[in-house]
Amino acid sequence: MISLTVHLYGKFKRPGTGGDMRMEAEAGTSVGELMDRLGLRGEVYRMVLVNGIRVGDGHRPADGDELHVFQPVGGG
Amino acid sequence: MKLLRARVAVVGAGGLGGLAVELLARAGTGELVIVDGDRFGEDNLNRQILCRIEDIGAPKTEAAARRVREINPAVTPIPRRVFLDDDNADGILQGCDAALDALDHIGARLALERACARVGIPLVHGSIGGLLGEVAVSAPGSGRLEALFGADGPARGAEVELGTPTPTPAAVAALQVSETVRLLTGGGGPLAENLLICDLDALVFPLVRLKNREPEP
Repeated sequence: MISLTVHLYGKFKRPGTGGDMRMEAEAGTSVGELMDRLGLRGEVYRMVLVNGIRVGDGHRPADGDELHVFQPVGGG
Repeated sequence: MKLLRARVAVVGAGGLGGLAVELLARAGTGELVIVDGDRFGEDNLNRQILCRIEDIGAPKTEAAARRVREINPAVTPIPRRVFLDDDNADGILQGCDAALDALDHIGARLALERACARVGIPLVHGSIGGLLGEVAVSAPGSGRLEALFGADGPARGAEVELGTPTPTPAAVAALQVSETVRLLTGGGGPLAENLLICDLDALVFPLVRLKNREPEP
């Protein structure tokens, strides 16, 4: 098992839990599978940083990693 | 005096850019290169401070230069009525001390970052969508925005579904100008290593530590 720290921002926050949470997962679990658990897999505008680096859904976080999940914005 | 001797490029003269021009002129930035090939439309009135009813249809750079002259005669506006791209960017940015990203297209932001790296100046990035904004500083050659958005990522973000409401550009442009003045006057600051996320709905402003290199496959 791996333990992750997850920060959710904006509309991705889960009601009643704020934006910060811990997630436990099987070793080898992908970011996409974690997003499935959060109900965020289908979000068109979604960015995931793992330890400060943007990753795709195929990335497999390691124990102790920190994830930031937010909507990228490009307007001016 | 450092600010009065500085030349800053504000790239984009819309929501973020108009406010940045206003604030940088009031702060006494010596020369403002204002880059935008666009004209004002009615849908700009909600948030673009340089846009008045009588400006609909007028070039954005024209309104920006007029506003600078109204605010502070010690500041010289240098309007460039073009859209910045890989071909013209170096010439526009040459001689500038910093650039402020006020564009509305992620691809253009990456072109601006590449040009800033070639010319050797820092870029103060800002972008908005709904009540969300972000601010970051890209040191020349750091590739910070490319690492963040991806070289082949989507051209637009959540602003497509969230729109660009009135207060968001004001908040983000103020932060961009604060960081630009800090850079020009010798400061470093937390955005050297972090992305600032501005959530005006939840009223939280987290700093997210960034790394530039790509993860191992």
